[in-house]
Amino acid sequence: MKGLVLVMVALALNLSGASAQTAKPAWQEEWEKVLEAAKREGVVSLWGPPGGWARGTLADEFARSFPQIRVDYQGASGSAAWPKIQAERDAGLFTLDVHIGGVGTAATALYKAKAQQPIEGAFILPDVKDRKGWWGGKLHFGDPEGKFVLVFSINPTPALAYNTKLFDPKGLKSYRDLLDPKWKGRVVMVDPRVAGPGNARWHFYLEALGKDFVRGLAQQVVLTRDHRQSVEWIASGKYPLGTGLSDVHVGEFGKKGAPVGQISHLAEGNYLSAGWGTVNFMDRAPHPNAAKVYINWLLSKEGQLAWQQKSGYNSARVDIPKDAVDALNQILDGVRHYEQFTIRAVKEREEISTKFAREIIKD
Amino acid sequence: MAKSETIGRSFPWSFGLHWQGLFMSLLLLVVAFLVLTPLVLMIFNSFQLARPGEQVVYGIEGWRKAFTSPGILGAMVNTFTLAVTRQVIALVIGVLLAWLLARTDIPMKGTLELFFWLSFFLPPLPITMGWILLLDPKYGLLNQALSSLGLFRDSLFNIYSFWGIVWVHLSGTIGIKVMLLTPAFRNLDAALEESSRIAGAGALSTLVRIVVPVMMPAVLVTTILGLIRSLEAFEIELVLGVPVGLHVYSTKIHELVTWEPPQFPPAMALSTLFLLILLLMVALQRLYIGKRVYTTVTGRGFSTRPTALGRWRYPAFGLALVAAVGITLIPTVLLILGTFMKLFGFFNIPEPWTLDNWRQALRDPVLVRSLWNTIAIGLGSGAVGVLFYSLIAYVIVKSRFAGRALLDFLSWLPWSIPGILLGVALLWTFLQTKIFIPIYGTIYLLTIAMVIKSMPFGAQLIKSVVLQLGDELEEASRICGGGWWTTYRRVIFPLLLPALITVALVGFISAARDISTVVLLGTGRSRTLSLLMLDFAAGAEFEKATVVAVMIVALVVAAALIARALGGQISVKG
Repeated sequence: MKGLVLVMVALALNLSGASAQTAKPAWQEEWEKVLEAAKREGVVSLWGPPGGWARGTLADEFARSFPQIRVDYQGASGSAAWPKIQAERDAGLFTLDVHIGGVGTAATALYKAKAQQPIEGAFILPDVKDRKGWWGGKLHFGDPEGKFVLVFSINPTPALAYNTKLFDPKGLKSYRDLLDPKWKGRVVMVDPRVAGPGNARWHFYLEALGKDFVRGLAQQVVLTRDHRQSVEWIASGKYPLGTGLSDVHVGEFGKKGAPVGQISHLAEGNYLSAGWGTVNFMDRAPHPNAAKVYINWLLSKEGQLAWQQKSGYNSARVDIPKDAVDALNQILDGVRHYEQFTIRAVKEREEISTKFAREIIKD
Repeated sequence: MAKSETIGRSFPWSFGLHWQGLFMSLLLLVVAFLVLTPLVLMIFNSFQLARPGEQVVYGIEGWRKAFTSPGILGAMVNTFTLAVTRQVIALVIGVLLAWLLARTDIPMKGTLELFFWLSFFLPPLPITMGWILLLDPKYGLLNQALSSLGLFRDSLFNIYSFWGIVWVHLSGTIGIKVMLLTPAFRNLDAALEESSRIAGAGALSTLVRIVVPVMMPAVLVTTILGLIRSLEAFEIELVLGVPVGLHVYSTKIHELVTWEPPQFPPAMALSTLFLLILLLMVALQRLYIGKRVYTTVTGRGFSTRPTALGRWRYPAFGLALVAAVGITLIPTVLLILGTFMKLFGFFNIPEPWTLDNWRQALRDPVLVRSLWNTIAIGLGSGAVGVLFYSLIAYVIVKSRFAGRALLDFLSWLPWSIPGILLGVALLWTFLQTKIFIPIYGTIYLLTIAMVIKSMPFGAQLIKSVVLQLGDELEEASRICGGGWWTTYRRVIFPLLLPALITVALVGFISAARDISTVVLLGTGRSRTLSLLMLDFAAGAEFEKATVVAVMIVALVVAAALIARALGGQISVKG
């Protein structure tokens, strides 16, 4: 009898040990189920920024971690992508799983067309769900409901670019110095009347320095819509100074040895933008499980490290090392920053700043 | 000589008249659908004012905005003066060069013709950058060299100007003229020139008074095609004109399309002007050609004896060589040079040369697939296009079909929509037509899009050659017992072949280089080399973009060599 009890106790102990080993957390079970389904789907369809660097970051890095899920990646700006996405949806064709891009298109065109679904519905990994790892201890959204346009990258954009042979950066302390008559016709700017770095910089100037300042600035600058050309002009010395230029192009020129430098900010501060860093889970995604796997990967520490390393941009995650982030893209303490990745800023840019630019700048 | 008679029996008479009519009606319907649908959608959407994501609203605000926007009148004037200037210059030079290559005894004709073909293939944007490298007023190499010699205080050349734009365009414009006119000039019976010389006219006088008037269909088609394309041109104008305030019509349309959100209603309203101009051009062409006879290839025998230039042989050759090298080799060398530069155009940075651009481009995982897609779409659109356009041309010229004038007019219409809007219009067309949905986003759809885009060029070129074929050739074949297919295969087809090869080749090249038509229709899987180039350029990787541009050039040069090898063997012999 004693022996039978001992056997029964040992059996009970074994069984409880076995169930402890096989009991998985709920998130892991869900993750494995979704991953299996994603592998059966076999593909995730993304729209993201243009360029080999973007494809390498957002597609190739994911494919390395999940080789059974092929990435169908298309790269273009939001204004180029939206007509296609809209036409497809109007025709009842839903081809896109995830959209990655700037706040502008996501918070206006996509949001108004109800083309997204709440992104937190895709969150599975605890690493992704935990808000403590994000800047300010919270997730940042670019839409008014705080559900659809998740901002995963927050960067200051360098205020000015200059030719290192022709200009001493110590010569400017305040943005108001740009109104000095000696700068008339000598400062190049990307046209603020269209979406892009010039428009973002213009909005910052309007917000931080007021209408009189931007009116004066409009008289000083030479405009172009060609991002590369504006930087070529600085590098070749045609213009010694530039503002509202594409930091990607300026950075490329600087890395390759052209005589261009950048000034991160002046006395009145700078603005923070999402750049290309918002992610949107598309409504009626054709591969919903693959989309979830992708979103979890992108927002995880692994995905955000890859983003920083390949792009040089700053992730909104604060619980990962920042040594891969370009110095000019790091959020500095003690600098007044205006947040341009919020829906308020997006609306003001469109309804006030851009409109104002088109009123006072004529061809 | 009787007008090239429209012959119902020229068409497969074995099918019976009602099958002929059915077939031609079907052809007309297909063409009408493919060209009218995008056009109608474009015009319809020019009245759709809602912003993205909003409820649909219709109105004329887009039209009002289009035609009252600041600078639009100046842009129109610039457009016409630029287009007419370069077309006139290119036409004179092109006719002379085509005549030298096709009708005279200058040496190395095949090589020279290849050079001119090559000049047409070169992608405009990298070529423009190459010329900027030489002719920038401040930093251009040529200006610096001339300044260092102390000959000029100020820069002699300024690429950012009206004449800078004309100059850069000339390489492509002269190239296409030579490409299109040379086969047509070859089909001229030398007996006409010999008769002129017997009557005492010199070589140049014969050219002006005999050859050019007889070649008028080809000259007119080439001029109209060139003028329409000139009116729509914008890449070179964007780079060289906009920075100095020189706007043209297409840069204004481009400006509207690249706003956020894109301003399609005014952009489409502006583009309707191209439709009106096209209607006018086509009407003028039909008026001129309508009642005249242009048959040059008849059943009476055909001589292609070249005109001997005597002491002018080598000076003429020198002229042609300088033109060929100037518009082809210089920009090509600059383009290739640029691919080895760390920063395109910057010689003064530390270690300006690198192989990294090639290494990175060749390692890109999507490169091989993009190359394969490009070849597939190029071959598909070349082959399908040739078949389609030759049918259209044959029905227009050789049939009694009641709708042939309409078919002729419809075949021009794809060029009434500027390239930057054609992509959007085709996107709407394919998405609204259920039969295209299964192939949406695939290379098959891109092939169809390119066939539509190249229709005006292909159909009109083949038509101009068919016009030169006399009816007695087919009649003689029928008298000898040949059916329609035998006649077409053994008599007509060999005579058309050089033109068909040219059309197939240009179709291939268009597909390889095209961006605006396919950019909205492609996906990651159907990406072409041109879209990969665009992707690199938009992503601030311009040097890698030039590497892909060189690959595109290499691809089309290879295709051209193959095409010339085929065309060269089957040209009309005396």
